[in-house]
Amino acid sequence: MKSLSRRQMIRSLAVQSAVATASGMFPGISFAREKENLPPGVRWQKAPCRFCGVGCGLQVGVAGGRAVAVRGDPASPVNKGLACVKGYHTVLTLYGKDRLKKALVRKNGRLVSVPVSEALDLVARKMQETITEHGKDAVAMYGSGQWTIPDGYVASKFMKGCIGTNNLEANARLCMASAVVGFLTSFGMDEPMGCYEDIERTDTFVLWGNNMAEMHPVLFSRVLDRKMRHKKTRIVDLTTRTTRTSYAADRSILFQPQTDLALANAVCYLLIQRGRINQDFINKHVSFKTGKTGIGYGLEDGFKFKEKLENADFADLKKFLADYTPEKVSALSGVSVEDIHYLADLYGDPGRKVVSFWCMGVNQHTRGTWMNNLIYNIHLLTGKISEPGNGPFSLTGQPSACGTVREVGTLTHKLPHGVVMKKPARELAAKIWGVPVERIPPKPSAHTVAMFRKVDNGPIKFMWIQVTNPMVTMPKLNRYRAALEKEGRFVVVSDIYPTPTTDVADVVLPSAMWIEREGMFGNSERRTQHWFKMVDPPGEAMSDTWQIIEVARRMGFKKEFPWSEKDHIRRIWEEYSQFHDNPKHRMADYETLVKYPGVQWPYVNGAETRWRFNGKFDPACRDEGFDFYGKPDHKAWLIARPYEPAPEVPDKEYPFWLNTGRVLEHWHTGSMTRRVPVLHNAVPEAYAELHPADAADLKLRDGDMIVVSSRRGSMKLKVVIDGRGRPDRGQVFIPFFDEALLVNELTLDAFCPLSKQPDYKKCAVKVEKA
Amino acid sequence: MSIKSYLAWPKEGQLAPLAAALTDLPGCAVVAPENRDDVLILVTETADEPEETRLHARLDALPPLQCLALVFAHRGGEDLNPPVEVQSEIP
Repeated sequence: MKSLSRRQMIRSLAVQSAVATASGMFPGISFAREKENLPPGVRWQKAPCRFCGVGCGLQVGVAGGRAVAVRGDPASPVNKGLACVKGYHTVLTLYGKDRLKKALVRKNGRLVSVPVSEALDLVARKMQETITEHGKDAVAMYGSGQWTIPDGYVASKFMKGCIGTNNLEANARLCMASAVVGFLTSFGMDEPMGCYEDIERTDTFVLWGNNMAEMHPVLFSRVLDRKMRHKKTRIVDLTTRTTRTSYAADRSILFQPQTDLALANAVCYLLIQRGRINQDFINKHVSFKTGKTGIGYGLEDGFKFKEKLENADFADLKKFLADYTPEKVSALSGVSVEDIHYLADLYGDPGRKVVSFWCMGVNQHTRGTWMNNLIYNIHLLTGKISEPGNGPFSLTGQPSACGTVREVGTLTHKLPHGVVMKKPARELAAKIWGVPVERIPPKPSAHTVAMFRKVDNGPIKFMWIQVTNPMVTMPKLNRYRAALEKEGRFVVVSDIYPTPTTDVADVVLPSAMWIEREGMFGNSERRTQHWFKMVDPPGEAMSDTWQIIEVARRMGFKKEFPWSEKDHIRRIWEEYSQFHDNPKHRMADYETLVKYPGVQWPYVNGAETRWRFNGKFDPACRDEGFDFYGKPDHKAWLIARPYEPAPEVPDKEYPFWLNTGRVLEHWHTGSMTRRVPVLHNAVPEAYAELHPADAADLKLRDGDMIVVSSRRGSMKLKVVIDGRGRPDRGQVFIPFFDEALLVNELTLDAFCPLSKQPDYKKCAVKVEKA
Repeated sequence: MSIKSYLAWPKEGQLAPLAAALTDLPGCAVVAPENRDDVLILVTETADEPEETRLHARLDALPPLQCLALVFAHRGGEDLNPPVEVQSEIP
């Protein structure tokens, strides 16, 4: 350990205090010369933050073989030196007292320590035995948007290319699938056309069900900074619950759950009625479509749905929108006619640029794909898309939901390029992977909810879960916990801490976390970020990438995984990049990723593409104009989508809506952040937020214990009145980070029939004093 | 010995002259932001009270300086130079 003088330390503290104060006053301010004041003995290296999809660049300080400090990377164009409270505490999540350091195997009902090589032998043997006895579709892997890109890539190659099953899913199905299908249906290509730079170039932010202040705090700092510097800026918060975002907005508009569908259509109605559309853009770049309606909710096992889009025209759209007058939508949604006009005026003002942001409120929705389509419709009618400061932008929740799940394609229907249903995509994968093309099944098997139902019903006997905690996050949790605990099921869990999911495991593999291994993440704005291994993992912990490689080799796939432990990440990246070797999706090479805090794709001729589908910026376009090249007609598809009600609505017996979500201080299920004392103490347990008038009706005071029950389960917890958030009347909000208070025992496993993403924001509950 | 840090605001358009003037003062160091031109960090080190008073008089007289806000102050008569171990705060 190096020494430094007390004077140096105090001087450093003086500088850091001033930097922190300045950062609070001026969001986005960056002090590169701060490096000159570093204490000696600490080595700083870049890494993306471990947590959310914003993808902040961090600098991690390592001394004596341990990560001892973290700060925002001023060179990162994402966060410009800022970090949020989770980011600043990231390195502490490495050092919880109960970190898993050894493999565990269940013997006589108890998990006991074994050498990791023995556990890997057992995993490979059980997987092989299951395939031999029940067929290859009896094994499944369930990963994560927190998988690194190499983790997801080897998982896809192993499951689809080696074993030959499409039983591969990831928890991004629970958070981003509606965004994916929204993009694919409207544009034929996934991921946002714009970038975070839109924030500094727009005049208007419309947040659709998105509490950015808590869920994307660094991006929200950039939004607030824009507002401070640019007086014309307006922030509109469309929400069912008053949050910290609402307080910062120019106008917060509360709507009844599910009626965002009608609200978006009312905006379209007004845009057309008042002539605030961009007819020239529409004529050149938009095709009109209609889709199926009355499409169900996926509540029954074996549910199937196939979309069929029909051609339409502008007159059809006008006719369709006649049902969405401001007066009718106001009566349905609870939004005033004046607020609907205000929203349409902002979108329709030709002198105003508009960015729409959304995340879980829109995506975790039984009509999530439709909501994505409808936001695109508004931007397509006004032509405010694919140019600086104008665009629809779906934010991601997880650090590599885009990079790993959407780009590598760790979903049942996907390959690293294209979908399993397309022969050319299978042929490309087989060629790059060096496997017979017949081995890759041409049909998707089961999306996440269906996969867990198959565990319950029997066809899936073996499941390997990595970097996710489904025994906290699955909706209708009681059913799926019982499924994994059934006789004849074998569950492998790779994680860094004990969780409710490791509780049901037959084998627990200790994982190396984040900077304990080399990796890459891909964030919300198509930015790939690389980091090197900085510290050793504890005990026998091993990266998820290497765990999969070890098991694959034990099952006879040595040829497919030939890389050395020393350079396998580089080799994986080089192999994976072959899938995207075209101007629409070319990835930066390894050396470039190492050099910069992050690089956006398409990366063509040494340049990032900031705005896709716009020939001024995107080399894949045919000319300098707009070119929506993801669709065969090179146009964006405006799809008419109606309002349809939620599958379960409040009634006499269960009179409240239940909405679930996250809090600023905790990452998802809290398995990491609850082990950091300062974060845990900030929000130590889950709670139920109620509107003060509802609390008064129930004779409840702040801090009283209540029982919240749905048709699926019940829980006892404290009520909070006018705490951090305030639900609208008739609604309850409960965060899901607390493994001791599992709100998903109450939620419904209904999903969007197109994206198969469950709705965690709406089901019916009752509230009683405990 | 006393160590302090301040946020210093220049008069409009005067960031560069202010940074240069502060750097020229004895015991003063400046940390300028990369992406703003309306604020900077000033770190001062003075040996004793009279030196501190003299420094403040010179700061008060700087034409480009609009405002100075104290953020951090360490005052101690002890020797600040003996080496200490860098301790991780992580348990």
